[in-house]
Amino acid sequence: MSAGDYLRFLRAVKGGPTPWEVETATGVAAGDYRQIEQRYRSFGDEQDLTRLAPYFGVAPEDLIERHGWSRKDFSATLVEVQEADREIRFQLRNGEAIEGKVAWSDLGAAMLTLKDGQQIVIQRHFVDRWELL
Amino acid sequence: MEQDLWQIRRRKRMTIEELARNANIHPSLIKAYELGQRPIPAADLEKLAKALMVEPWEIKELSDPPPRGPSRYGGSESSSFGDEVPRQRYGTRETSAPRYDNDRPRFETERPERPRFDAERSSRFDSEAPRFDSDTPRPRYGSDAPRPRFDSEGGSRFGESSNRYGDSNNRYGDSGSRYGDSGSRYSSDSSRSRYGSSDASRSPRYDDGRRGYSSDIRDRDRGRDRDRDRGVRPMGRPLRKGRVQRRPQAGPARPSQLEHLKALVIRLELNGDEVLRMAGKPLSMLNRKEAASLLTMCQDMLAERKPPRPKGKRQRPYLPESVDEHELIYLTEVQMGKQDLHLTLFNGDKISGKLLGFSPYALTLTQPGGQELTVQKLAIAYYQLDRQAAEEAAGEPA
Repeated sequence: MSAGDYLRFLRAVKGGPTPWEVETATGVAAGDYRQIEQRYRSFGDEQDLTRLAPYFGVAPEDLIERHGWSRKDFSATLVEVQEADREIRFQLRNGEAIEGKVAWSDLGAAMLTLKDGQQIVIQRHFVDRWELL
Repeated sequence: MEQDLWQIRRRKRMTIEELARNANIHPSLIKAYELGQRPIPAADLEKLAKALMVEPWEIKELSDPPPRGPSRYGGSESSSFGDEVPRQRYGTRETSAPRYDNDRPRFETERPERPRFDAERSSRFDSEAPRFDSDTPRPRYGSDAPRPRFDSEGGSRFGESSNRYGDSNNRYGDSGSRYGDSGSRYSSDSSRSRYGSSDASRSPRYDDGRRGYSSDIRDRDRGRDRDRDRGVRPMGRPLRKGRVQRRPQAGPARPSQLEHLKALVIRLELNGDEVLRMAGKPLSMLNRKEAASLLTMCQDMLAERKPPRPKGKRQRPYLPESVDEHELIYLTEVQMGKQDLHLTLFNGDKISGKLLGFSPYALTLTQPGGQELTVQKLAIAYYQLDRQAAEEAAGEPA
């Protein structure tokens, strides 16, 4: 999970404050939080993440280590798996693991077709890790 | 053969400032050298020779002043030729006019075998006064010698057909002629037809003799010399009316153009023969203009092949994750099918109900008790249809 996705998840846990409210509370420059969360590439710097970490109640290292990750990596993996008709395992934030083939993926979610044929739509921000099978 | 400093400098296409900088001599001193106001000392001669990349002996120790150059030199009232002949200000009619001896033009009788102008100089200094070699005593423009009156065409030949001066048939050498006479042939009709008939259209215009050059021609030539000395490129000047400006030849195609062309050729699925037929030559031999033209052609072809975009549909670049319509389509089907949707929230809670509506950020469910509940997508971990309903939906024909 990238820092952006992780912040999106943390924001949900915190009760869904708006990006503007997060920026006001943490002192992050206006507009930067939204970009950290939504940009496909890494955005912001360690100083911003260090300011955000106490607001969300996590260690700064937890955010900083994800800063180099990118939503584009996840997107590329999803496309690759879908085109190759391969299976992938999602490790979710709640510790649950889901395996299946990617039926589609878009801006906010991805659909997996499980082995029993059931389809499940997983929100991207809830995927913590992924692994090709 | 030694030459005037200004001649060498101009031949080397240097400005006074550039020469001054290279030779480490003050520009005003170089101007004085070029005007012949001061002889060039040996030390400076070596510096100048080095800066001009010539031998020191090639530079005249005492230069003759350039034929024109009034404003840029500021003029000088002193004379290097003798006190009895006051130096005229450059750019006035006197310096533009040929300088002759008081009594007769020596060049005609003493050195007839040497033309006074070579072709290069006569073309470069078109419409200038004739120049004399250094070994030829400088003819004086004596006060007792009446000045020639140039008519509108006769005077133009000075700068263009210097060989006429050496022509045995020309009348300049005629001892009976006096340039400033009232019956001077310069201003007569016969001289006009003789010297200015064929190239009259190209000849610079002279005024009636009281002013020498017409002011516009003089200003133009001054500007040209000034530009040359300042190092201004001729291409930088605005296109003058009636002149054909030479356009620079197009250089070879840029690598980026070739890369773009190759990419377009691949997208258009063109083979080598088709590309060769379109370009007329191999891509590597195209110049920039041809490459640009071919690029335009390929882009037009590509545009023709693209299907028309549906009107009213939001256009966005296609990126695997920049589209959000997959989820939209799925939720629309669920909503239309009135199937039960089971949501699992990030805290483990589960919510079920029929999908009443949705937006990019929220889902609204109708719960079994009829209660509507809107859930932010941020709070959702995943959702799925009821297994039985999903199987039924999957078993239905599309």
